[in-house]
Amino acid sequence: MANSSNSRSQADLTAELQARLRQTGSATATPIAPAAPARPGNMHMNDAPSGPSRSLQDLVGAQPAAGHTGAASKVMQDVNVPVDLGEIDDSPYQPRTRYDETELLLLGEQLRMQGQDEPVRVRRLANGRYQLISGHRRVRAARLIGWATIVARILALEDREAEIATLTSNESHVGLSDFERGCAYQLALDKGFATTQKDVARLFACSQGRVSQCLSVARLPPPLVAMLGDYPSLLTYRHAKVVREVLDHDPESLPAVMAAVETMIDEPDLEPEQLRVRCTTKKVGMRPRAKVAIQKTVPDRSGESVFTVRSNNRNLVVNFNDRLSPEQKAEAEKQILAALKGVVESLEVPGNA
Amino acid sequence: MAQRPVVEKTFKVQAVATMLGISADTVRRDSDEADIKVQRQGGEGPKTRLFTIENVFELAAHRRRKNGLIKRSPLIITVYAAKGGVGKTTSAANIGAAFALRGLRVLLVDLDFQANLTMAFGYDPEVTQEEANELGMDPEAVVKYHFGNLLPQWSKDGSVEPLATVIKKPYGEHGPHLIPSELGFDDLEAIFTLERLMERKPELAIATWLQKGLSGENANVDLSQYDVILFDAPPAKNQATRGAMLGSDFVVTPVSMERFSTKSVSYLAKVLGELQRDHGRFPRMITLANFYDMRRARVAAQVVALTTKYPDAWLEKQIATSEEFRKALSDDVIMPVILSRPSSGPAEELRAVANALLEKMEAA
Repeated sequence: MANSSNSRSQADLTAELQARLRQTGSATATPIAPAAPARPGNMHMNDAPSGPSRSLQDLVGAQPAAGHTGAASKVMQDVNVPVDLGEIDDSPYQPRTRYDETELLLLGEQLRMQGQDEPVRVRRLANGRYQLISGHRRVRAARLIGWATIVARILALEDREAEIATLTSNESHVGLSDFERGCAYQLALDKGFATTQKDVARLFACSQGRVSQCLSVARLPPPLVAMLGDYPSLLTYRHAKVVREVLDHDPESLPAVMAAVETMIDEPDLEPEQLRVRCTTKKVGMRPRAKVAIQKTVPDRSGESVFTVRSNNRNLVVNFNDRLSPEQKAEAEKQILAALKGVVESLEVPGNA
Repeated sequence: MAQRPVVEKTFKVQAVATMLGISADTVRRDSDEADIKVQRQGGEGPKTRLFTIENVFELAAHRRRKNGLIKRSPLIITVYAAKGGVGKTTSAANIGAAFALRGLRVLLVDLDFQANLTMAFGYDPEVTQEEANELGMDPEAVVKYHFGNLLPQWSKDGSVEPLATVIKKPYGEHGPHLIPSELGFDDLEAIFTLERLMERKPELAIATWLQKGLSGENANVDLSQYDVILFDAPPAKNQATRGAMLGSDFVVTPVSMERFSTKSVSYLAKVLGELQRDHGRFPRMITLANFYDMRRARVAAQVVALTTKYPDAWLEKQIATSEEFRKALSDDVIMPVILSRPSSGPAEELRAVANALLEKMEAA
């Protein structure tokens, strides 16, 4: 190939120009390296290609997404275009519940240095905005480094297709905890995308054993699941196995197990066997007051918890799940307070007559 | 500059025979057979037949039917040279005309906003409709559209002009057809650049246009009627040029045999390598030596370098340096030299080149 350090492929040039377009605000353009001086003596001559060449039909047929089709009314789809980051919404189907900021910063740095390798995938919603199918981390990273747009592939997907695509997107699973994976697998089963664990494994391109492991975390008793909703990495499937064994042996020990698991928030590296010891150690002489706060989940109509309630002697703490919108939270708060008022009014408290 | 593409020049039987590569007797017999209405020389003396250029191509078409030439899918060719002034457009115009004289249905596409190919067929792209009206010119002489108007990328709403409105037929229905160019065509490059940034693969625009025009998918454009589609690409490595090459089966590159001319072939080889890598399709390269004088040492060195590095590309027939080219360019009637001076040395060479080219392409 050419000995010049200034040569780049068409794809590289396109990527670079797009990066420049995005940085229209910045004053400095990338300086162009001076061309290497011609070599004296024998001139370099490039090889001409040999071998078979595709037919026009193969060339054009193989690339149905080649832009215009000539039809004016055709909605632009299955094409890669820069999309305004402000117009992109998260997918409601995305299994990830939290993003590691350090990782996002690293990813952002990579985007800045190397540009965007692959488009994120979105679909167009009826309201004109875009909903992510895959690329939740890249979109966040791009926002962090101040990009205005990101190159997106616009797909024409129905809700169900979008949900499957989001759930099963490889990138959606980078660094997901067993619990989050388990929830995604459970969701796929609940929604009928898959009927057996074998189907799930095929859908998510993982082993059936892995599906089984992760599901065991997602299928812990509701109070534990609620706690994992706040701390998704708290328990691995090996911890979940211990918890299950302890509870199978003594169903009454749930409060003790809850307490033991809660200690892991401060000690995330606790080994499963250490957790077993902690779950089963009877704390003699423990006063009733010391009863651990018990979490109660309140399911909505679909059976999923929307908030957790933690009661202690005199305190009642209600934690709303993030899935509730601010309006829903306000409404729920109103109703809870109204209900409490009703309860309080019905009580006959001595000395208060 | 000719203001009318209607060519008033007439040709005697011997000139027609030379153009078509047949005997004078065959010209007479076949034109009678085809019932071609030719003029007769006026005044005293023998009433010699005078063929218009349209008559010549009519005769070529008749001979094609008579000889039962079998229609195959068209040969798609791009004429390209990274280096300017190597006789690229002259080659394209003459090769196109030579193919048509052999009875082939030829479509020429001018992809250069400088419109030299368009002008080689007698059109002045700068003449406006108003000027044409004032001068009493044939409205067909006005260049209103160019290749861009045929692509959905050109207009905002993706609409295109029908091929019939865009196309020019300088020598009548049976002569070569021409998609002309004019200054405004250059905007296509800007549009392609935008498309590229939007990742819409403008490189495929021409290939897609060809494929749809050949398969019948594009009702506005029927390319299947042609035997040869020949693009005259500008001496730039731009999107339209790459697109034409990607759509083509062959790229003919005139080489001037001057200093650095091997380099221009090397650049082309590199571009073809990129097409192969990116798309799995590339045109076969054919080098056409122009202004060729083997007596000069430097020319000999260039030839050795090219035939050593690209042996398969080398075309056995060449075009020598000739003063007659220059004379032809100063003629009153602007038309390819192969038509205007059929008996000249350059015309003879160009016919040989066209025949060798056809043979090489058909053998490939």
